[in-house]
Amino acid sequence: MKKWSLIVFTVLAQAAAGAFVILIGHKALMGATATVLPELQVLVASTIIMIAALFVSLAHLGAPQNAPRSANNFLGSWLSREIVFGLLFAGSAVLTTIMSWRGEMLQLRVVISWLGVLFAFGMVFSMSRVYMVRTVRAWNTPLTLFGFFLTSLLLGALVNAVPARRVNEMMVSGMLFLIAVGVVVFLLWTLRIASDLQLNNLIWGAVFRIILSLVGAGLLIAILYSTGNGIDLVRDAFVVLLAGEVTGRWLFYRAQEISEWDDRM
Amino acid sequence: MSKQLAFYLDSSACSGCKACQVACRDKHGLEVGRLWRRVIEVVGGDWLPSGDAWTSTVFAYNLSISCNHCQQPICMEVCPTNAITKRTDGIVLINAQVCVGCGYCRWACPYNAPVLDPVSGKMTKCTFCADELDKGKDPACVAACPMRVLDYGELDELVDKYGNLRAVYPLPYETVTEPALVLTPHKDARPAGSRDGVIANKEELG
Repeated sequence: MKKWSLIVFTVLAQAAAGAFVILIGHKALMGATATVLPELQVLVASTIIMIAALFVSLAHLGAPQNAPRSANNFLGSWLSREIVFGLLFAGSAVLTTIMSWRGEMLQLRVVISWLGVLFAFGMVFSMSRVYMVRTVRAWNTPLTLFGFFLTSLLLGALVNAVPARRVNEMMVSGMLFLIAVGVVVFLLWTLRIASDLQLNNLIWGAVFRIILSLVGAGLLIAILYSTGNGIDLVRDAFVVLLAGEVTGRWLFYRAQEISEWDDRM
Repeated sequence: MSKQLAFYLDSSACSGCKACQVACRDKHGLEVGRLWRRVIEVVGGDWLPSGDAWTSTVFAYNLSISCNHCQQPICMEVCPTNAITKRTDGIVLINAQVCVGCGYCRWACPYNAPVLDPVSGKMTKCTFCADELDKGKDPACVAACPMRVLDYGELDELVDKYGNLRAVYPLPYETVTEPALVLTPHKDARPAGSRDGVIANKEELG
């Protein structure tokens, strides 16, 4: 239960952060009127996903009544920082969504949305550093950092693409690039731990995760050759790629469980 | 002047009887599955053909390990609620009133010392029997050991008396968290970081 709540929390929180950052960044680059992204829908999705993630995270605590104390060690603990940034990001997302829905306070909305981008970055970075603890060799590698950010960007791009009116070539190319880099990072991580751990259980999970990524990539490539707007294919790709990311995250936690009594620094 | 209480283990004579483990569980009322002191059984080697005969390189030794009340306790660094503190005598304790039961200390601890109390939902670990020390008595594990391989005291005094070995396989290098632990190794003990051996009783360790 504890592991699964953390798998769901980290994947959902990263998806929410990625969706928010990509939306705000895309608007800044392309201009508010040139974007094809459905702003309000993405903001609502990002906000709901993040709030759901925070609630799910409570399930991994043995004493959730003490959860408010989790910010006590902000100066020393990456977990405290992850929680604080996560709450600040969620708050920024809520405010940005409400102001976007009401179509008011544009300048303040821009400020809060960019603060949200900073908090989202802080949350994912802190989340990565939580796991890069020096005593867990399976996790203490820059590949953890890269992997978490790639998950954020890929799932965030998909959250933006799913409610869009159409999926263009640039969106598909971007997602394919993220999938390719993500597979490479995952393979490097798997090879790194393979030298130290019994891979019997992990190897098939790793193969399955890569297959899901390839199937997802195939669905996205099919968009380029389809005559429709690609929305159905991108939704299918979202489901497959989300399953791939969940599988990868499961392997991530499993690696620590297997090495708990071996492979310490 | 602050001091550092530490445990000593003479692994060369540890029989692996687990009396220390039973005494600890009895004193602290630990239920099945929750251990504050673990006896790790390390085995390795093989029988190798040597001409018409066989040569044995088989080895086995035991390590009785609890929380090592480290001088650089990583559990304290990572705890989000500041529930873990280090006393002036070096004992590291978890404040149950503040603990949120996230288990991060368990992940971080290279000795897997903190364990979750499933009833309270809080993390728990060896307390060095601080209450017994206050009465002038020994920790339960030290008092119970029939082989007299466990001892405790000021870390510097233990080092002067027994030497400065602080880690053997499967324990991590002592530079990671600077454990308040002094060891006399078994004659077949492998150095920390070695891959020549396995833990034979992982499922017992919790």
